[in-house]
Amino acid sequence: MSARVRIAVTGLGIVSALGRDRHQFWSRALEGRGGIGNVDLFSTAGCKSSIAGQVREEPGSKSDRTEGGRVHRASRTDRLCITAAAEAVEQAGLAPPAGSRTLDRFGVSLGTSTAGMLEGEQWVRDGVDRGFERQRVSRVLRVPTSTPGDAVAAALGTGGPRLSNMTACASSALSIGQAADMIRSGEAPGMIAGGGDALCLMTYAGFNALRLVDPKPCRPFDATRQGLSLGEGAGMVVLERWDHAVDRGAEPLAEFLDYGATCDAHHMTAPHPEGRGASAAMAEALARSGLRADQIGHVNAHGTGTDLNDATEAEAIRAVFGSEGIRRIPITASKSMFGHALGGSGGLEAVVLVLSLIHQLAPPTLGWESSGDEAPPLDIVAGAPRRLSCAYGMSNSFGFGGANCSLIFRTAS
Amino acid sequence: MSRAVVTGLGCVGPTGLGVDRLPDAMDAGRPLGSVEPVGAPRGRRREMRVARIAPFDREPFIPARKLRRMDEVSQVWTVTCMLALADAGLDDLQPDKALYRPEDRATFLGTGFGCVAATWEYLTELTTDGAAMANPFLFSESVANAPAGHSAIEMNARGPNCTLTCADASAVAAVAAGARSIQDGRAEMAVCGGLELLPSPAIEALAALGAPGFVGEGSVALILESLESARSRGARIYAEIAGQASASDPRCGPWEWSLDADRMSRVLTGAARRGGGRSVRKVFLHAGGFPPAEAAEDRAAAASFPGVPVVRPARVFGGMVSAAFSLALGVLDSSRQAPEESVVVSAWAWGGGLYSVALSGAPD
Repeated sequence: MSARVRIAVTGLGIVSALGRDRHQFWSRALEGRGGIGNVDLFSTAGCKSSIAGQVREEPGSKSDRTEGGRVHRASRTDRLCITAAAEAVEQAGLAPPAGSRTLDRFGVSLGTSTAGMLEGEQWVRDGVDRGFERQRVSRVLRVPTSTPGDAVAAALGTGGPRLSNMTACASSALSIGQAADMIRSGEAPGMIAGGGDALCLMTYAGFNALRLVDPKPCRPFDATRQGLSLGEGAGMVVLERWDHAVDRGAEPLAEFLDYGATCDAHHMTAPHPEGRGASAAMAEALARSGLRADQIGHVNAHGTGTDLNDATEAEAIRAVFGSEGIRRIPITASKSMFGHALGGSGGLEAVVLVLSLIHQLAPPTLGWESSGDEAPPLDIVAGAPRRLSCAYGMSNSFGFGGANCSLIFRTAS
Repeated sequence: MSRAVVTGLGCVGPTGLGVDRLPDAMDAGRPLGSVEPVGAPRGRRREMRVARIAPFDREPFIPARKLRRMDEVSQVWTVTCMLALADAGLDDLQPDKALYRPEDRATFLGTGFGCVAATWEYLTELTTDGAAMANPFLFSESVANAPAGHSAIEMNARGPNCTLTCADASAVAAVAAGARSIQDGRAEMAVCGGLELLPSPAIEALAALGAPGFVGEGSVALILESLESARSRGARIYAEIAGQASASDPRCGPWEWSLDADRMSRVLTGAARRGGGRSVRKVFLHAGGFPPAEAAEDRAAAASFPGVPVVRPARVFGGMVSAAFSLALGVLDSSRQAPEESVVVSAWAWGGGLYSVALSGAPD
């Protein structure tokens, strides 16, 4: 099958600290509202920070399904992913039972990093307090990172390929790219792709220990930034062969063009100082999409808010788009709205990018006032949404272990 | 589209380093190495046995100063990658001598358990000592993609880097993804395979969940290149990744394997069909130790490839890790076969994922 098979985006689902679905998210994003606040899922005692982008509305139901009298307990990450995937599938016109026959051929490609760790932590706490011999191991069935993908597939009844990856903060961007690869190779006509992560103490304390968190809500690319704010949520897209979507009467919302995946091969937790892998991922995504850099009209940046990450991403963006080019590319850092959802962030931000292309509006980056003396400065969208006039947008995700992934989408028209 | 061929194999397992003794172990029906009884873990009447990787010296492969910064899992995977590169004749990574640019080297690691020892240690410390005492080293080493990150640094592999976590079928999923990256031109060379280490917390959990009585550890890496590149450098070609297929059973719960023989059969025949319909000579079954799932797999194999011999590496190397050993054995088997013949390797994941690859003899 040709590598030039066109891929339509026919459904979007997003759940984050900024809203329970795409409508709520988008209206709040355009209003410039932030979702970062105090954490109450666990104690943050001993941490420099006590805030995060926590989803306030309990996602999904406590159990993802009941079958034959058995209740399979879903983790918070499972429920976030199921909620976003169900929204995406509904928008794509594939909600069960009407869409079940099509979904039986569709696959799931999902990225995550924490999976059921929140529940695993409680199990360990109970074990330390009361003895592990009293703990039921069935409570940690949802810890492995394969389980959110399994949960989505079970909840929606997808019988096609299933792929789970845990590639840190690039996980769900990679899952979207790999889903497209599977469609193009003919392994499935469509895939539900993206990812999600719930907050947990393990990552919260870990990023604190690495001194990468800001006690105040993060301010990506701002001169006074002090670190990231963690977050949680899920972002899912329905990808399918363009002709498959059209034949079944679905309306493509956007087109997924291609992606670039690279590795810094430099350091486990720090990016390459010149953004070598990041710029290579962007350049690869452009080349594989058959685009010049000047055709990209909007970038949804990785933009974590840490000093080093933002500086190297800015350097990488300059390297790819050129000193002049970056003056005309509005950049949004969505993590300022809902925090850094780690393995879920690529999926969340892909959804934000597609919404931006659909509405031709770039939502503002919260907390940004000035890039300081960085030269030439990036054009950060701040204060209010910015009107776009572009066909192509890029979303960046970079992670621990040096993994990088850049996605490119195009407007449906 | 490029054709992906296997030019190198690396293994760290109960048989020691390298793949040479894997067929001997299959012939003997035992792993030829340490099989550790782990008593009767809590909630389990009978003993479990674990085929452990044989002890080995890592310093010939990784400098001591770097070993100190790597968790056990990352060490084992990185050594496995080095062995595979050496087997492929690609171990000279000096910039002026390496055959592939760093940007053209990809990594696809499959692991179901990941860095469970580091995770356990980090979590228990966090629970007992509090968040203020969180250990940043343990945190970064607890991330499941740490092994792939470390190996990429050691191999200066700047191409795609992904850690597939598809339960006990992760190795096959990773090799399929690696082959796709070669076929699509995303990489010129991919190191891909699977790895599982099973420290005591993992064994405890497996026992309590009713895992089979015999599980194993190990690490297997395949070097994939495009046929054109391999030929142009005169590389020995073991096999071609001729086809791959996957599907899933949405009726599976979180610790259940599919019992759907029809779906399994579609995946087995799908991989063979995508491999050009070559004559299938052997099928490497998952046979992970769960009788109902094994019975379904047997029916699927019999229906898909009547009369074709089947082998069950899990009986020798243990469950959980067997998909990785099936790949190594399948590649070795294919190297003795004609290009128009193939073997099919299947792996079924807990949770319902179904994966299969078809390997054929080296192209003429």
